[in-house]
Amino acid sequence: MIDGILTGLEVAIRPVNLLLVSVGCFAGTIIGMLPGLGPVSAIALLVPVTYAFDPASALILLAGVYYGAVFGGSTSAILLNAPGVAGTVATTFDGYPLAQKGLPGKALAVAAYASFAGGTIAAVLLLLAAPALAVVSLSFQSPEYFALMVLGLISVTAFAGEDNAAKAGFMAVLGLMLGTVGTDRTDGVMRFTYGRLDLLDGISFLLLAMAAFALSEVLLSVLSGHSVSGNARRSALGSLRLKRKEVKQVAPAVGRSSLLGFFVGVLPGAGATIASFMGYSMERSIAKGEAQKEFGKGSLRGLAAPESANNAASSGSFVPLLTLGVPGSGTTAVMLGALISYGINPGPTLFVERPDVFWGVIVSMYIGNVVLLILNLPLIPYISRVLTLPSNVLAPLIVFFCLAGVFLVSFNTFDLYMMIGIGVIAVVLRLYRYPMAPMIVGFTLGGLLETNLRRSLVLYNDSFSFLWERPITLAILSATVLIAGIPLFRKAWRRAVVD
Amino acid sequence: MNAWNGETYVALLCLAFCAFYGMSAGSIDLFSAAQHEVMTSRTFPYILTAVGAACSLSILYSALREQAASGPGRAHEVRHWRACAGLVGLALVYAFLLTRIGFIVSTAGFLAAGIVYLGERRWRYVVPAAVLPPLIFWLLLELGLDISLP
Repeated sequence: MIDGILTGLEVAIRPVNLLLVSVGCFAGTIIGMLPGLGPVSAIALLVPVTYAFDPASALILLAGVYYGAVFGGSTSAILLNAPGVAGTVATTFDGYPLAQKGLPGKALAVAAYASFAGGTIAAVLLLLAAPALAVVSLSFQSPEYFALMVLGLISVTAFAGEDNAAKAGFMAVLGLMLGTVGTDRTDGVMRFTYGRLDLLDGISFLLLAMAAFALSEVLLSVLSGHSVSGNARRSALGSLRLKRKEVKQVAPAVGRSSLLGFFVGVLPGAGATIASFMGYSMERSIAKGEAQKEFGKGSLRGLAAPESANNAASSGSFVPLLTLGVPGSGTTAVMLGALISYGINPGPTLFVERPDVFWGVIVSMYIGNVVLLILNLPLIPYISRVLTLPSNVLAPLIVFFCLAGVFLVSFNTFDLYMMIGIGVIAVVLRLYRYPMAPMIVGFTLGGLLETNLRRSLVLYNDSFSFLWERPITLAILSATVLIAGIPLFRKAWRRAVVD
Repeated sequence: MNAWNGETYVALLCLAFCAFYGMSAGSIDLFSAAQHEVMTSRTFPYILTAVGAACSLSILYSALREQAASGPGRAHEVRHWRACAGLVGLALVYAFLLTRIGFIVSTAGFLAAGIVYLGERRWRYVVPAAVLPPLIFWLLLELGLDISLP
């Protein structure tokens, strides 16, 4: 493992990679700060830029963007009470009241330090957990991969919420359906191309991710008329320093929430949103007396807990991605798509075949946290000026970045029409609460799911007995059934409580 | 109360899409040797059709039931659909003109038209936002990376 860390360190501290992680954090902070545009949109927007670099550098850039966007989302949550993404909703509970009390600088500093600590603790855990899991999963064959992919899809669906499970399920299936467009990898026959040569290679992952997240987000903001301008004022941020007493108050909350966040993040489908709410609830229930009453009115603990849990969960979600090739969230699904487009096979073999990528990403995630703290925090007063740009200027600019990002990869205008079409459909679906993340997860896993199912059938002479004869496959599928039952269990529990 | 609202129409569209996908799956050409395999290029799409249709029916059922109990309605307000449709229209025109009149002119035109259409009239915002991005992209790609733009 020491060799691996050194390899990762050697990759991550190359001047070009340090520059990339810094640029990524900076760009991510700006994009993540714009309400509505979260880490997924930020990464999707910057994927075309990464094609100019080698895979390790590209992923390092994306990791920087990821952290930057998470931090940027917290900034808009604290300053404007406008959480960019669901993961920063809990940040507004105490972050915005702190800003209202005239302490926006302190709130931003607590968010940054808590994120840094959460990221640091999670990076250490990732460093320990990922290689161990990767070694175990080296024994995996097609049946295990098939089972894992089913687990990933079901988890994303099950964690979408009791009322949304059917919609999330449909979106996962829609993603799988879109993944079947193009030339069949096994037989080489055309599927759903309707005679169009543009569809022979299937639908571009980048196109789908940009249309489903960034483009639809902008169109939705225009549709609902939610304007950023007018809300943002260039007010003084105040001191960014914390007193010793405040550090003592916040530190235990950060430690607890980071551990909780990491383990929640490792679960496929759970992600940063659940982690941040769990971190907040845990801290509020632990707090006693006056400290508990302070929650919701500008408690530093109430701000630090969701921030550290959120960031730790973001790191935790990289464990299943890097070791098993299974994305647990929309963000990691976009990362997985990017990995595949760089020609890298995510999963246990990544650890052996591309140690530079595996360790480089892990180490650079930590460096991303450091960059965020020493570079972005002092620059926040300047970066936050982006929030004063009128939204009617930003909307066409973001649409242009989406279209240009897709066009500059394929130089095919058909892709632009398709992207606009998918963007409009995504707007309609999002209006009616159809989640986009399961679709992206389904799309990225679809090809691999089908290929591994067909390979498993070949291995077992066209018999489905691999589902119960292989212990690891059976264990994963049993876990899948349990997770699939979560929405039903929740419903039954709620009924029992009501009765 | 009318049971048919946006929620149910979207669920019906999902169901119709699954039916269309399933029918298209039936017309996938198979190699003669593959006809007798347990799993062909059509099998996975058929499975997806069945699961997708089941999900759509479940959504439809919930939508009808929620409607009866005054369900949650739309996730976002729809106040400016004309502005949204206009921006989509401008994006389509931009896609059409991109390879015909060139990257810089079409991009600057799209950005200027989009910004003005959405209500911004202050030239100190409109001009830099419309002119600088295409120029920066052009300089970066043509001169920096040697990639020809239309």
